[in-house]
Amino acid sequence: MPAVAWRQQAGWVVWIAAALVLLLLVLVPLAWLALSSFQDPTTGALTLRNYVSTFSKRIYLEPVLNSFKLAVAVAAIAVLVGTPLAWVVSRTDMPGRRLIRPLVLAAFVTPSFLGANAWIFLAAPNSGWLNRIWLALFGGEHGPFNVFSLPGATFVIALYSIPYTFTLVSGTLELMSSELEDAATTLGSGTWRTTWQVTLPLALPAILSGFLLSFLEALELFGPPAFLLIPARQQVMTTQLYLFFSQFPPQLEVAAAYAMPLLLVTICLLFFQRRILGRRRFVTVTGKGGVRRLTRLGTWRWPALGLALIPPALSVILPYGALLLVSLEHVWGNGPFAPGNLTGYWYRWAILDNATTREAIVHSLEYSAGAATIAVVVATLVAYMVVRRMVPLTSLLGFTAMAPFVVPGIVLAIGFFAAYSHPPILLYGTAGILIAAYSTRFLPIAFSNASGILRGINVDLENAARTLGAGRIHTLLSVTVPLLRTGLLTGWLLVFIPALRELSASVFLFTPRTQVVTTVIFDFSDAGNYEAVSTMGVLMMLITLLIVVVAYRFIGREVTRAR
Amino acid sequence: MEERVSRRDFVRLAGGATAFAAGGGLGAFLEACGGSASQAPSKPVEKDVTKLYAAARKEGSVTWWTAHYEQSAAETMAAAFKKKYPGVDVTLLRQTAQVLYTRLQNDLKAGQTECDVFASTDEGHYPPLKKAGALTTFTPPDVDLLPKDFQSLDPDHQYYLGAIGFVLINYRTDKVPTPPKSWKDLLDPQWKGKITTGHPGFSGYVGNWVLAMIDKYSDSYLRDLEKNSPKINRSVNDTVTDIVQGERQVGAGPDNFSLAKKAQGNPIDIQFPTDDAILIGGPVGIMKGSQRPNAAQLFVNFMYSKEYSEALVSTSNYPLRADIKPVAGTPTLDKIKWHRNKVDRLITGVPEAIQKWREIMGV
Amino acid sequence: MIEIVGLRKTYGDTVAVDSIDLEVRDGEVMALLGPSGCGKTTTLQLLAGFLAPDAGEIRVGGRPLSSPHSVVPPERRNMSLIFQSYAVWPHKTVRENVAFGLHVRKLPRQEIRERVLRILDTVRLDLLADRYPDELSGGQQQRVALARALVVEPEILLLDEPLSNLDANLREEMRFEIRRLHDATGITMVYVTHDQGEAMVIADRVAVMNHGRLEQVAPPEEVYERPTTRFVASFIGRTNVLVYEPSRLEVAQAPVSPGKHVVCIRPHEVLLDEPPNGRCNRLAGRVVRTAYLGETRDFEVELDSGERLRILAPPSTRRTLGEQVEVFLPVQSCRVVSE
Repeated sequence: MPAVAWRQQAGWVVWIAAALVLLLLVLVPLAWLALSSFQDPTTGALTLRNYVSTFSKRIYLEPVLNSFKLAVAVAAIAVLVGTPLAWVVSRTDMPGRRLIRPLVLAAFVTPSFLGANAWIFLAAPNSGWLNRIWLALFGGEHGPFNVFSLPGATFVIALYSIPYTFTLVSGTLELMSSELEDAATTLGSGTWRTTWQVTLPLALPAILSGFLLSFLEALELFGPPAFLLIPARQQVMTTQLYLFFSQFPPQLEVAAAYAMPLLLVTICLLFFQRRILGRRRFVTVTGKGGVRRLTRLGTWRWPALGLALIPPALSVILPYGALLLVSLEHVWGNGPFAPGNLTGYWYRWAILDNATTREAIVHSLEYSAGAATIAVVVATLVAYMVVRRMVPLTSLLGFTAMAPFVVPGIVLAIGFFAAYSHPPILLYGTAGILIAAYSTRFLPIAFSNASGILRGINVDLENAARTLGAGRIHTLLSVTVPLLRTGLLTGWLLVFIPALRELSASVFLFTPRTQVVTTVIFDFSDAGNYEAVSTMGVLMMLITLLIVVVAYRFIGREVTRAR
Repeated sequence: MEERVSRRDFVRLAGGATAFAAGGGLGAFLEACGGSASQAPSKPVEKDVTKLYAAARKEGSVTWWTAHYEQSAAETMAAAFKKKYPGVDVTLLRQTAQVLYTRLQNDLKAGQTECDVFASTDEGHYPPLKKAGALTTFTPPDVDLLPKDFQSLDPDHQYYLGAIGFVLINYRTDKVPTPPKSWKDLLDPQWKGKITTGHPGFSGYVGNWVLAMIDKYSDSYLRDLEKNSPKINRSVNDTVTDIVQGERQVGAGPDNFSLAKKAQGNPIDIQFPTDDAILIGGPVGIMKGSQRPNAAQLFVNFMYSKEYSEALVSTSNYPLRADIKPVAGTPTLDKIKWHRNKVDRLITGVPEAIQKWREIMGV
Repeated sequence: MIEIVGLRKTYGDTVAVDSIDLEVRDGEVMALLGPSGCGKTTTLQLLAGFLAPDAGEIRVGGRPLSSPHSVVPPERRNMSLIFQSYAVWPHKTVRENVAFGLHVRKLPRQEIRERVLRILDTVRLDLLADRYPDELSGGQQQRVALARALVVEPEILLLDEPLSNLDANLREEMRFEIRRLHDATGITMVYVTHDQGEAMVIADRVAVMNHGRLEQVAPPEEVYERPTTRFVASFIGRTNVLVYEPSRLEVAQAPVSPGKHVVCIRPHEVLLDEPPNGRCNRLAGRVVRTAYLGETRDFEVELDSGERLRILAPPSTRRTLGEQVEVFLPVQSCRVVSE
């Protein structure tokens, strides 16, 4: 409902600019993509042939099936592991709870394809270290682990999806007042039943969001399927798209047609999520504080810790241990025990000697920071317009801001390419196209974050400023933004980190002068230089963790100030 | 001899991009000279490219897109060029051939590219580029220093040989006392579960090999190979990784990367198959719209220099010059049984080969 | 002077404000009183410029501020608003909160400092000037809001249930405080509340609202003594409602307006002992409830007609449960109001 009839104000410009940027980042590439899917490759005339040719061949339909199998399995595991992990860390007295969080964070900042590479070192059927250890201990022909399989890929991808569910669910659980559970307990419900029937159902929105996020991410991953599933003779949609796009002759139009159903499915899923959560009320934050008591685990305390350490061990400790080991070997094939093979050579090489890697690190930081800033600014302005209902059709604005969520990275890259590799806006070949692509990909995260915290701000605080004579923009800057500061910083990190570890879009849009760490790592692995792969992987993780730690120190200080 | 040198010199330096309309006779003449130079026992003489160099220095740098070598080897070649011709920088992009080609095509559709020298491993990329008029016509001064078979890849003088590489049999020396001697041998059941290959859709080298196998032995080769459960990766280099890692023991892999790993002390070696090693003549061309045509020409010409071939050997690649010996233990070109797919066959054949592979191998 | 003419606001099928006309004189305190959902807050929001009317107009000093086609935005109305939630900014100190409006008006720094000091003195927060709001009590926060609103010397002060978040004692104290501030500044105030006690203390005139309509607009005494409708009579103070039958009950004044009417009489006006003078209606009934409240004695009597009367009598009155009694309704106290 329109709040106030508009008068000419200078503030208009800001809002219109934000909406325009949104349009350019989201609608234009998607429109180009949709258009391409209906175009004949040579004549440009409209045709359905692209759709027909892709979806009538079994060889193109199988990857679709594989993608969905993978995505469902990954999402299920992520939720089944992430939820109890979140519960046990947020609401019980398990010892070592505080250890789990940083480990989960380390998993979150790890690109899944790096994890895939590490797991190849660990669990390749013949040469994987775990298998070799097994054979040494138990003898036999073959070790039991084969990472080059659908279960193997599912396992690896799920490991790096768990952080999503964990974060979402633990966030909800932490805000939940114990009173809700007490009510159940006083009625005679034991711990288990309370957890099942009160706690977890109230966390349902978070669980469902976690499932959805993991599902969508697994659907659009390129790296791990390329490394793990091709040897397993399983194509997925993203590797198939890669083949379309990079074949001779390249088939952009067919790729676009192939990608469209991916979009449609994602849209449907989001729609269903809204329906399921729609009418029920999930208010757990009464604002009255309430006591948050921890559930006692009794004899289960230490076993719980043991179990809780398994996911981080598998996603962080083992893989980074493997990567670290390989990165310290001068010649990987010789093994760590060959004399003189352990050395910091590769680290020196990456940071000091090799211009490409050095530049790539700088680029990664620059582009991700740029993208995070753009995404947060645009998302906040748009979220403000939507939450405060400043203009009609706010739901359309909101939808546009969330739309990139449904687009796989690889598809977005193709769309960006189609839209911005020619005048009037020529971004291809510059850092601009990468920054724009990252901003767009992660805009939905920034937008969800911003709308969430904006909703939490009482509109009276802003109205008070307006009655005292401050216009909308002045109010935004002097009242809203300071209150949002902490939340905005979190939003910034939520874009910065995924942008750092992004591969699927980068691999299409970079050029020699705009390499980033992930593309460089990918190239090294293509060339078989696994020492470099491991070194860059470890370096990237350390840099990211450093930034996050510093940022959280900063946020922490903000939070303890008057709020 | 000197007279002829100076006349050749003049023609080349004046022409650069065009001037072969009267061409045939001159070309034959040049070829004859080139041929005799490579067959003569006397040392081949490189031409004076001072003027070209001066013009290149003004341009300042050259952008070289290559799929011929892996990153550090390519950097070595770039460094060798910069050493010989200081003042001309090299901007290097190393990707697989398919990726490079797609990127180039997309650039051309957009109307501009920063690529000056385009060095793909897939000869099939060049005819469409020629047809679109995207390549410059030129003749590198030292092209006659190449082995005769490779001096004119393209009758229209728009691309030349840039690299020689092989797809041959790789094997693990400590686990495989008698490596397979031919491609046919790979079909033997003793190799079941032990083979590793790349994927023709992801790698031009592999595409070449698959096409050659189909042409030699028909689809049944692929079917029989499939029965041996090969591990399929993406790039042809992945074969080497698998063998070095110990994941598999034999494979259809490249020569250069394997030899590099061997030089590092890894238990891997190469075997030239008796039923032909697949020779990949990676072409090199210069983009017509290049802002740095002189630097580009200087660079391409440098590929036929002694320093270049020596640098190639130092990075375990096969030399272009016949007077430079390849990596120790590797036979010279005249002693190798090799097969090279003709470009027309490549263009139609590789996409078909990929389809067949996908249907038979299932990925 | 605020003129509200034919103001109307609907949300879908619901009519929040049903074509009301109201005038607020300069310097007056007008209370908008009514139960929740009666439209008083919506009216205030329309006044402040946060909502646009569907019909009607709002003028201040003759200048039109709101109409269906154009609305002067809140930042240009020079009307300060006190919120139920105080809306004191947590990230600014008391001083910074109060100074905000003055900074927006770009006043010189010295003047800002002086005015802030003066107003903080007036609301007695001068010693807490550098605290943050979360270090203050509810009452103190509300005073910050008042100071902030008044320091800019607005034409009009709007208050939206400003005391409902405070506890009872504080509420009483703050009522007087607000009235005192008004008297000191002479500012026009529109005060929204559901608490009739508050309205009675603070307001010069009370506008009683129900279902989006104005039932009666009059000074507190008149609204209490001479309610014009049943709703007003029941909402302001407690009242008994009896069926209007001229034959049965003699009333102070016969109704002049058309429509249904009832008779209202306040519990403390109903007597159990015959008064010495004045004409009375006499009715018979039976005591069905009694309660001793210290200051009064509370009876409920069921009349023969079936209607029930609540009676607040002096504590010395003695009647027992079930006793047949006579009740006396002085004619002067029987008011006829429209239904």
